[in-house]
Amino acid sequence: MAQNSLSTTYKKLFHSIVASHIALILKNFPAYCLKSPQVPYDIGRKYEEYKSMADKCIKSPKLDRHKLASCVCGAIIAIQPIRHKYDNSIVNGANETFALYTGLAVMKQFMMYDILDKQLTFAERQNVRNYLPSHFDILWPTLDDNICDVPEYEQNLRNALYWASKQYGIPHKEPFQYDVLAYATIFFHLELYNKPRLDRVYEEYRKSNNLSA
Amino acid sequence: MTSLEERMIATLKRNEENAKNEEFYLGQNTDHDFSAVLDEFAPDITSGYMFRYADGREERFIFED
Repeated sequence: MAQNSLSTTYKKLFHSIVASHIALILKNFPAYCLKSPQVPYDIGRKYEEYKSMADKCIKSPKLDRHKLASCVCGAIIAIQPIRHKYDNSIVNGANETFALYTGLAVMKQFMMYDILDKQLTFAERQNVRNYLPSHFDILWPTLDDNICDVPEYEQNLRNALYWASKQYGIPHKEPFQYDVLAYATIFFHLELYNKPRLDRVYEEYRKSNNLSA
Repeated sequence: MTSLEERMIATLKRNEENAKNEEFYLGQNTDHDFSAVLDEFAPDITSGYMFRYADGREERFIFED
């Protein structure tokens, strides 16, 4: 696939979410870098590949938020874009953490868009758009919820993603493969877990700003 | 049979009965258009983010159209 065959939507996704995560990681970890200038294109090709695989499993022509989140998460894991500046390695789990939080950011944008989809005036919409990103965060299920155990949910999920990467296959054993649809279901469950809190955050905002429902 | 086993057998029977009619596609999607969602929260950065590469270069990245 030629570079220019990447979809406009992927380019927007890269610019809006993936690139800002990369820039933030590189700023906070001076010893990290991108392995090559081809990374944005490589992630894009893998994303489009996962997306067309998932497209075949659904009835409608467009993928839902969880599958899109899973596709970009899997693409980052497959490409392993971040490495150490001085050698070809990277601490275990770094790219998987980047991938996981990028998938969550996709889902968060969709969740906030649900709220913006309501009948709001232009000014109200603008205010909600400014308010929600910093007041609503995706949280992990906790041991108190009886949903996870030790290690914690995030660590378990990151570790599973780590082993999903082909290049970390256990010596002399078949490597695991990233499963777009299975991880899409996990993203879906994380949305369900966080949705009531988003509703509460918006309800509080609505009341304090006298917005209509 | 335990309740769990009963449910497994019931599901398999239902699966057998509906095999010809049931489609195994995943749900009908009515989600928002992804492009519109991204546009709504697009960052106010037009010149691209600064990336650092393994060869030591640092430059702003923007897709070539």
